[in-house]
Amino acid sequence: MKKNIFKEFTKGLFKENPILIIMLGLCSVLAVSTDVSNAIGMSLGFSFVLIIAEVLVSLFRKIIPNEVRIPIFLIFIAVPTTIVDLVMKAYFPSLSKSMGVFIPLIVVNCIVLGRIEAFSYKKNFVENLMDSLGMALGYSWVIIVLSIIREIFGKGTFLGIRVMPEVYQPMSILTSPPGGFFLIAVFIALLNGILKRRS
Amino acid sequence: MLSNLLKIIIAATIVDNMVFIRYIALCSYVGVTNSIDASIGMTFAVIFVQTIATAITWIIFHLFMQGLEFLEIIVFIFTIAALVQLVEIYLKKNVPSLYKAMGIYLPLITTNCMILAVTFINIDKNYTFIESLVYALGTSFGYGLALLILAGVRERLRLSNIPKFFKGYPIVFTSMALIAIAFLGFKGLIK
Amino acid sequence: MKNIIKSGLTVFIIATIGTLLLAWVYSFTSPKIEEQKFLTIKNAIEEIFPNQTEFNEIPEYKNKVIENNINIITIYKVELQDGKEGFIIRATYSGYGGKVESLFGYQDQNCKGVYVLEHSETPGLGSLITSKDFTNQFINKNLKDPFIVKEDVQAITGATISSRAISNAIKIIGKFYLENIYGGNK
Repeated sequence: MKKNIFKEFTKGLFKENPILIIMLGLCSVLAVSTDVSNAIGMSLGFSFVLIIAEVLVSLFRKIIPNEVRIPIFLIFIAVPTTIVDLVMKAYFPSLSKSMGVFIPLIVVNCIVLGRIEAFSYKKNFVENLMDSLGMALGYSWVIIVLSIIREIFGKGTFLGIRVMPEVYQPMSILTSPPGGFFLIAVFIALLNGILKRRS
Repeated sequence: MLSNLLKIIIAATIVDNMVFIRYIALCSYVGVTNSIDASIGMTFAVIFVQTIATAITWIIFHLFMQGLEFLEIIVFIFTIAALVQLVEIYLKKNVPSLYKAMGIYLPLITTNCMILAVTFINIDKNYTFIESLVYALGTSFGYGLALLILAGVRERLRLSNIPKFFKGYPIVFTSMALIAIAFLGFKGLIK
Repeated sequence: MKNIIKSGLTVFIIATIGTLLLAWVYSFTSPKIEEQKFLTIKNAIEEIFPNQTEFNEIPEYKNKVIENNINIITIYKVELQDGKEGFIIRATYSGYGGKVESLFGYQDQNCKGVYVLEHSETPGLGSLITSKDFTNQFINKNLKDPFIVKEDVQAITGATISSRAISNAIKIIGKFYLENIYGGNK
């Protein structure tokens, strides 16, 4: 039993990684991975919303009538998203500004709705908790690693502090859309390669 | 006035293209560009829903939500979800031909980041009603343009030799990277 | 029928609880958000008028569009420590890569400095309009000067358009300031 529950958690990290394998939530990934600080902010915000939404749905699934489940899911997602948005605007205004419209967009992040519709409604609390933690971590590590590459090589800084030597000319193509798309392509290709080799 | 509107449309369609410059609406984008027909269907659905959603959310926000701005996210997503449901029901009954063309894409549109994003941006940029509609049209056209370009490319890709691990999504994203470089060239078009 | 009522009621109750929760979070975040906005403006104004003691918005000039599509968002009257007063005009103009939002400082018949708040100019080139090396030349510049790039205004190398745009903005807004604000016409 314990092994099974742990699997619910670990699957989100690699085998069923929401971004690289299931291919969801891409918009936010590319937009906020230009800076490590943005990526960390987004990971925290996203994780908060995903975990709360999945947990709430699993707790209340008995009283959620099937016909109106979508509007109720939307409320369970929109409320934590608004909380994240308000808290960021109040206590981390510069971060909130640099992430722009992507914080409110967490509400239509395909990963959240996708997981709730496909999973949360049918499973119990513990399974949901594990799944949401795994997915959140899976999302976070990809977006943070991507941002580290893009910021260090694309701007020469890490968390805003210059880390590359003065002579290094930043490859700003990395922080722009083409670079982002290409990095994701490489990431997915790499992960495909690793997983295929395993099986 | 007219030149302002023209600027907004060109900016929204090309210079500030939702997909290639702003990274928005990627999930549906990658999925739908598998076929050119699907892309066309999706474009119509997007233009249709985006324009109506913009109009309604603009009115709701500017007329009814003074002091209640913190409810923006909830109200807007609800409005869009409800709108899509209603449109689906109406089309199914009254205009079955259109329903057949847009059919499966309609429910997908609720989670299309772009619909919601544009409604937010209109409020953020303080656009007037007409400006919001123009922006909505521009972004939808831009999205349609992006869809058609990639769908065309993917059709060609099907017949090409692709390195093993790049098969599937990696090559799609690489293609997008190249198209994005082209779009970057449009920056500075609008003064 | 009963099912519909039950479903509708469930949605309604959950929506209400959600809204109340948000209203509660809003009640303590909203003052903080206002405070942040105020601090940003205050810090920006102090970059231009370091010896400011107080500043207030002049209500008559909100969102006024003037020449060249320059949009004056608002105007602040700034009281200074030596008893004098200056004016900060917060406006947007069209730069090379998009709209630029800045604070333009004026006192008597001079420009007192520029502080760029937001822009989308080219990184490394036009973006240098935010650097003091560039903007310092506008401090205490007489508004009767021609404001011509490469003559009395030094351009950023490789970013003539961005330089010209901001220089023109300072001149045009300065003209507006002289005609409407300076000279007792507040």
